[in-house]
Amino acid sequence: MTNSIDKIIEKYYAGETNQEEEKKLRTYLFSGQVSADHAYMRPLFKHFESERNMSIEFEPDLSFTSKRKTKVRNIWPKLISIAASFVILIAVAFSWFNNSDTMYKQKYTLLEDKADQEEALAITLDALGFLSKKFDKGTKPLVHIKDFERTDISKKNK
Amino acid sequence: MQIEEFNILVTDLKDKMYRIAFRVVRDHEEARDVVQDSLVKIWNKRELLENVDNKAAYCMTITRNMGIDKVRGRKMQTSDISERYDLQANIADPERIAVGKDEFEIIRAFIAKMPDNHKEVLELRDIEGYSYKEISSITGHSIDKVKVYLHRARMRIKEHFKTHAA
Repeated sequence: MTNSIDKIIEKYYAGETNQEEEKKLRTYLFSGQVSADHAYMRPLFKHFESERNMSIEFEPDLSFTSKRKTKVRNIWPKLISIAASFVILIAVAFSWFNNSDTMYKQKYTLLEDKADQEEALAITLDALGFLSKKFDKGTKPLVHIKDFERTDISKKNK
Repeated sequence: MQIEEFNILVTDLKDKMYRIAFRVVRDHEEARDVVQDSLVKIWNKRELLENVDNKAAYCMTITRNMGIDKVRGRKMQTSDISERYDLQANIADPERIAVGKDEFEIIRAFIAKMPDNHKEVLELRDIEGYSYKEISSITGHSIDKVKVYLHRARMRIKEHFKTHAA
């Protein structure tokens, strides 16, 4: 046993041991039967073991892995709602223009009838007559301005 | 590489990556940063990872290099190590060797004082248990060179601790 361990230790220091041999060496050094010659190796291997089992309280932040995907997921609903708003806006505008055009066309078509044209003319003349009447009524009081111009106050102001 | 696969990789390797980062930067906070930055880098290059045979070695290489960059950025490594481990105080007092915890500190300090190549190869082999081939791929040294460095590192330890034990 000691002979084979000596060989392994020799190989270990030469940097030639394989993992199986190093495992054997570890088992030997951690057993209670280590020769005095090899005792100095025990703390060394214990140190390696303790370093290997060093407790690490560290959880890396892996949010960077989902960043790009989340971004795409967030953009789509927004894009869809913007597109939907545009479609609704265009539809409303189109129907409004279409409606007003039809109304205009309908009115225009009504006036194509001769009777309607005469009626429209009569209504227009009536309206103009009414406007003229009101205008005459509004200008009548202005006749008194000449009386005012003849007064002293008016002359003084000039 | 999918997120699920990456998460498994992280769960398997984060502790090893942390230990490697810590051994390079010798500071817990910086080691965390190094691992975090390494994971971001690995994720950003995940297409490359598909063609890598040994993903663990690839991740360790990135972690190690990021750690080295961090140390270079710090520009205070050489004067720093002995202070961090209180090396002189520990080694000068042989009585402390008898106490287990101090013994670990002395060993750690001794290893920390070794040349970088020796120390790195020794830790990758004796602590992390990587094969020579994996160490070669992580460090970029040939397998023969890895064995030479390992031999020298182990001999240094033997000479020092055998003498102290005697």
